[in-house]
Amino acid sequence: MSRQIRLTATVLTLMLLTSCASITSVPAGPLTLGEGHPATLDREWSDISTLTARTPQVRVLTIDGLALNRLYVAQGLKPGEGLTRPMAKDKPVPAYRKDMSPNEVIEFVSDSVAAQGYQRVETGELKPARLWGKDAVRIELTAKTETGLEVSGVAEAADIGGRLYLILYLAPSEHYFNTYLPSVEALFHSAA
Amino acid sequence: MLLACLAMAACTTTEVRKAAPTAIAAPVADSKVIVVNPDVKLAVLTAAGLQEPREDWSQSARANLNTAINDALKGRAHRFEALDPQASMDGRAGQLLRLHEAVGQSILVYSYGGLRLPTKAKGFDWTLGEGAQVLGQQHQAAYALFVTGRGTYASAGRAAVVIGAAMLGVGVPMGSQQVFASLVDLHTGQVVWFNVATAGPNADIRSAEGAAALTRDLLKGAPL
Repeated sequence: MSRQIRLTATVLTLMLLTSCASITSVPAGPLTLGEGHPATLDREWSDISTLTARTPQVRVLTIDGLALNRLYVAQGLKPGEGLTRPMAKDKPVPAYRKDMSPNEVIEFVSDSVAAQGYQRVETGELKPARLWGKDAVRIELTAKTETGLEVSGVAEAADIGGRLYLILYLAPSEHYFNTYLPSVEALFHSAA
Repeated sequence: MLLACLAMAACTTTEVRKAAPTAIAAPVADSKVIVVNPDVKLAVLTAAGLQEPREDWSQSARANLNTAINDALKGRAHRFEALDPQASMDGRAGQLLRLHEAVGQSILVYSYGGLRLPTKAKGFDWTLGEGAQVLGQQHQAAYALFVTGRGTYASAGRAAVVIGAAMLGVGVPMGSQQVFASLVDLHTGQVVWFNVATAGPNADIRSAEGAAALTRDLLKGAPL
C-alpha cells in the first residue's frame, strides 16, 4: 500500500474512531506524573492518548494534532515495556530494559521514534539533565516523515526506581517545533 | 427512503471553514495567487476492501482538476501563477508544501472528522507559520491556493459484494472521493479559507465533466 493511500487510511481510521474515542483538555497548571512526581504545564494541551497505540503508562498530548505536534509523557515504563504497543506481531517495538546505559537510553528513544514510522532518525550529542532530582539524559533529534517533512525532537529521560520516565516532544521543524518548544522547556524545568 | 438516499448520493456535498473574521485578509483586487497543481491520489477498492493505487486514474484526475480550476479562475480579479509541486520539493519551499499537506490532513481530521481538540476550540485557526513568506517572496505572491484529492472507486468485484451485502441488509462502503481546497495567506501563513467537496456520482474527477462539476462546488464562495 503506498504511503499516500496509507495516509488516507489513517485519516479515515481516525475519523471512524470519533464515535468511541475521547479527547480531553489538560489545562495549564500542575500535574502529577507516575508515582507522585510533580510537573507544571504552562499552557493547555489536548490529551489524545485514547487515539494512539501507546502503552498505558504513556500519555500523548498535542496542541494542533498528532501530525503537527506530539508530546509523549512516559510515567514509569517497566522493563519490557515500550513507548507504544506493537502494531503487528511481527513488528515488535523497542522495549525498555533495566539498567540501560545513557547511550542505550538514547538508542531506545531513537528506535521508538523510528517505530512510529519516522525515517532517518538522527540523534545529537547526549547532554546531562535532571528529572525530579535524579540524573537524566537530554537528547535532541531530527527525523523525516514518509512524505519528507523534516521533524525535530527533544527528550529527557531518567531511570527512577527501575522505571523509565521520559518526556519526548516531536513536531515539524518548519514553524511548529520552535513555536511550542518554550512550553516543553518549561515542562522540563518544572520537573528538574 | 431509497429515493432520498439516491437523491443525496447524486449531489456533491461541500462544507466550508474560514478563519475567524478578524484573521481574514481577503485578497484585494489584483493580488497574485500561486495555484499549486492539484495533488491527487486515487485507488481501486477491491472486493476484499483493500486499496490498490491507480496512477492512471490519479493522472487523469490531476489533469482534469487542473484544467477545471484554471477555467474557474479565469476572469477573476487576481493574477494567478501555476506552481508545479514536483519541481519545488527542495529546500524550504518543499518543506512548506509538505507542511501544508500535514496541516490539510489535520484540518480534515480535527475540523471535519468529528474529533475535536480542546486546544483548537476557539474556531478555525490553522497555519503554516510565517515561514510561508518564503513561498510568497519566491513567487512575488500574496496567497497560495492548494487542491488535494484522495479517494477510491469500487472495482466490479466490490460492487458485486456491495449488492450482495445489501440484499442481506448489510451496508458495505462503495468507495468515495474527497477533494479539499485551501487558501493560504503567504504573509501570515494562515489558512484563511478551506472547503471540502465529497464527490457525488455526477462528479467523477476522472472525467473532464466530473472534475468541472466538482470544482464549481469546491471553489464556490472562495474569496478569490
